Amino acid sequence: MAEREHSAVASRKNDIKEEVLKIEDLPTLPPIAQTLRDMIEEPGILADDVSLLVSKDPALSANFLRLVNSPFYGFPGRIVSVRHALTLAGSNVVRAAASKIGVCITPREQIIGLWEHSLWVALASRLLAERLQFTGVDEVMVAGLLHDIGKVVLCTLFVEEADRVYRAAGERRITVLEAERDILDVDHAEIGLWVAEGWNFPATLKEPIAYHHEPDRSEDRPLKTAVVHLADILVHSLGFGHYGNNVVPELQQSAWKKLQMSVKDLREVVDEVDNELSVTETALYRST
Amino acid sequence: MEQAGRTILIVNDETDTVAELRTPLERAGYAVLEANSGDASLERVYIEPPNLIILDLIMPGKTGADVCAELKGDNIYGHLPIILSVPEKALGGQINWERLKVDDYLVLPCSEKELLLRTTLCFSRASRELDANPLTGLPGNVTIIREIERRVASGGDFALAYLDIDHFKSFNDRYGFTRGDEVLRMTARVLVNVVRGFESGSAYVGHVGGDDFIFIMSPEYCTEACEQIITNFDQIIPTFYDEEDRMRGSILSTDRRGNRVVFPIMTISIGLVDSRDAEIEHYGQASYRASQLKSYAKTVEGSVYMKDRRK
Repeated sequence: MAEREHSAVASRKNDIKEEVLKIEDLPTLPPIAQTLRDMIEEPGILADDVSLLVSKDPALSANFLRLVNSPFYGFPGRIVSVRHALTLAGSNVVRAAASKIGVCITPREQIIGLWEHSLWVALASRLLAERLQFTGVDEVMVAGLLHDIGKVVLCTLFVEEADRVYRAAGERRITVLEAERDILDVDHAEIGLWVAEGWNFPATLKEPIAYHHEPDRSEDRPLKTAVVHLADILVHSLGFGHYGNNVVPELQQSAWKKLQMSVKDLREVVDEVDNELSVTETALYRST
Repeated sequence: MEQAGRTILIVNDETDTVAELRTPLERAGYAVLEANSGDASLERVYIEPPNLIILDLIMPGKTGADVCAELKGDNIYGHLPIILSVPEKALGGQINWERLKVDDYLVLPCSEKELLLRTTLCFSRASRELDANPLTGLPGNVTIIREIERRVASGGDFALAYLDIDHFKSFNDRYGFTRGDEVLRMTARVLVNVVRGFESGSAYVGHVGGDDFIFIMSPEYCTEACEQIITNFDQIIPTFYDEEDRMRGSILSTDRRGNRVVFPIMTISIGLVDSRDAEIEHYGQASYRASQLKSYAKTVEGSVYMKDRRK
């Protein structure tokens, strides 16, 4: 009996993988889709406005990065920045993609919570990367924005499964990660890895997506992955942007050591994060 | 024939015609997609490019000719082969076939045999043409010369820019030509998007060869275009290097004598000739002057453009 249940779960994992690999693009929140459509109605697209909007949205960012990293464009796996992706796609393509964008039907608070969390982790990643004087600070920010892309996939395209996971996490006071492993036999980090590999994302995005809970597994981008890991935990512990339960994931000591950051620096970054995380940044997600 | 994995997009507003085309193509092993208007077809093509498009000329809204003009002016999407489907009566009409840039046409209704044969030939022709210009999909020297000659002959004002990438060779030596090719494709895309962003119809971008490119546009926006190209290129290029080189901001290498040499991150140099400032009677003068200015630009560190100031 137990064995049969196990194989049913395992085959569910394979089903999810098969469906994930077929995804063409991710839907976004209705107000964002509407704002983007209004922007492209204007005769001259304002590249900066579009870029600012897209960089606040994990789904839209992922869609454009997928496009320019596809072999069709001729430089697969090279583009990390959302701004670069939009520059290389060009205004005709941006216009077409924007008018085709889908809208998700996920329960409002759950999906807004995920979008907020993604943006806050993006900001916290940026502030940490600045403090640590990394090259390519913007890219670490994109990695932060996309770290939970596996959750974005679950919450927008596997609505029922996501609902079961969140309910179980809330009822049993376990992390969402644990609930996913238990119920789906796969977690959002692994789903994120399937997406990142299938969409030819560069290592700077792929590793933080796949290993933000286990930063020691990162081989090519250990420091950037450690930063996103720390940013994720900072944002959770400050109590920003989450849905339902907020069991804070565990900080990996080795990642903290790797960053060689002083406690004083960390405290200052925490203050900066606290100051920068304001509802005005994400008011757009809630507008109707 | 390996039809497997090849996708054909049928663009037609008449459902019956779509069905007639779809059945034989699917039986032959192609995957078939549909779009029922010009706008819908562009959305599809930009996001999920097919391998071939069978595009109907006559549609409400964006016509087949409009769709064709938009796609064929784009360096990446421009090499998707297009078969234009037309009614018999359109053949004798006012279509300017030379300007349409379609790869073939098909008179509807047609037999299954003809449909499949045209499709096969279109695929094989497209692959041959792609071989001739495999890297960026941009026109090469023969058409570039013809285009400059045309502009000179017509007597209108134009700006000709000659661009090359500084330290491209050292990048190629360090990372191999596959990575070098990626840089050339990225550069081509930046050029096409900036130049077409100012002038979608009449601007022209060509790939002279190696890391040399040209573009032609109206003189009005040419300096602004150069500035934008430089900004975009300088922002994007560091991500084409490995982390280590990028952090250092240079490539370390040894020359033939074993001396250590440092090559900075690639930049671009542009020479710009304005037909209003320079007396240009034939294409040779324009391209010579532009490449001279470009060489001068190369003596300056960083990404720069140099404009003719002879008058």
